[in-house]
Amino acid sequence: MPNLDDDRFEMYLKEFRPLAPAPLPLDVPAKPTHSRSAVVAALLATAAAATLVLVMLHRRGSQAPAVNSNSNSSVADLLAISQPLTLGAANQLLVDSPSFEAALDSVEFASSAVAIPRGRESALAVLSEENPKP
Amino acid sequence: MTIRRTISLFIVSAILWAAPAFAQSPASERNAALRYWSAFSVMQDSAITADQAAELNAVLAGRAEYDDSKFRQVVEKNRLALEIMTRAAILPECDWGLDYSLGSEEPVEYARNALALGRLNVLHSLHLLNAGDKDAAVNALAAGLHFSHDVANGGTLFATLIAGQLISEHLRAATFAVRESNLSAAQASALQNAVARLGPEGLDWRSAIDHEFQVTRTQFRADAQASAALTRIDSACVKALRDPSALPAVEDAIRAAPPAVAQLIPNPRRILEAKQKLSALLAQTRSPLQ
Repeated sequence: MPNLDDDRFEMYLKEFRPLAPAPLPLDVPAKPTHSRSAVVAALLATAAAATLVLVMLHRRGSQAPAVNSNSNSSVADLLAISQPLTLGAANQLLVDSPSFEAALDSVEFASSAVAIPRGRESALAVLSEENPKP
Repeated sequence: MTIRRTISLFIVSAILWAAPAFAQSPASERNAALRYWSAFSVMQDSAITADQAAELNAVLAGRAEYDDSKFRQVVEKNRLALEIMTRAAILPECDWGLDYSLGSEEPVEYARNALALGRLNVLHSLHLLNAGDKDAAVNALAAGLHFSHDVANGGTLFATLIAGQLISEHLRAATFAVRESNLSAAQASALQNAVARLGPEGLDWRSAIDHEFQVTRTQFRADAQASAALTRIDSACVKALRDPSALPAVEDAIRAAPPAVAQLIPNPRRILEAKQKLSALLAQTRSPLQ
């Protein structure tokens, strides 16, 4: 004797159709919409940041002790304040400078823990240069 | 058996007694360079005006009088660095630990630092003279001369030129001390001894040239022609150091060398001039001290 309840239950199960899962309810910020005003704001912000960086670099350059006033600036570039002094760089200075005194003049004190204000110089940089400035 | 035991005991006792004598003291108690590095690490910078910078250079060149009110602060801030340097200058050795196998890449930051510290010491001695502490001023000058000499130890021409510059500036300060400060016989004698220890030439120029060529050679290891040219220039340079009339032979050897070699050789005429200038200043300083 067939079990009718079982047949009905089987029919009911066969009606099952899987559903696509809904997204999890996480607290994720919504994707920004690229409106015209947002693009303009981003461009302005980038331009402002670039200007700030350029101004800071310029100020840093002008604050560095101005001890290399001689003509061998290309050689002195070898010994920029942050460059380590090597035997090769030292030899190149001696070869390329107009005099040995000028070569030693290009040797600046390498580091300074003190922030040198604008218009002033590092005492140690002055002490590690050779020729008196006029 | 008793005799053997006695002999063994005697040998062990002898070893225990002699061991400390053979043990070497630590490098930090022999090698001044390690302490000099320590002094460099505590150097303190100061902000000075352009006028003060010009005046500072004029003082070091002996063209202006030292004004304590302007430079006392720079000296005071570096008292510890100067103290460490002065204590180190009495150590028997100075090895900067240069690794010449690195060739031109070998760092020589110590030379740059030494120039600043040596000049601070010149200012320090002038500051002490100004304060009337002549004993301390003479000690500072004597230590500074020793330190200046140490700067060239085991180095190339560059370190030797810096050492020569520092010696010259200390000698000028010493001459000023003798002329202006009415030193006692003991103080003058201490300075005299410090200058005498430098010898007639002040520095080992031959060693500087040897190291200079050692560095250059590393760049031409695989080039037989360049290496031969370097050997000829090196040999001619050494002769010219002893006899300046041999200078044209050095210049000829440089001209005949491959351009890649010639462009790495410092002007030999300037080397001789630097050597002669220092010898002359040493001789000139010795006479008022005697």
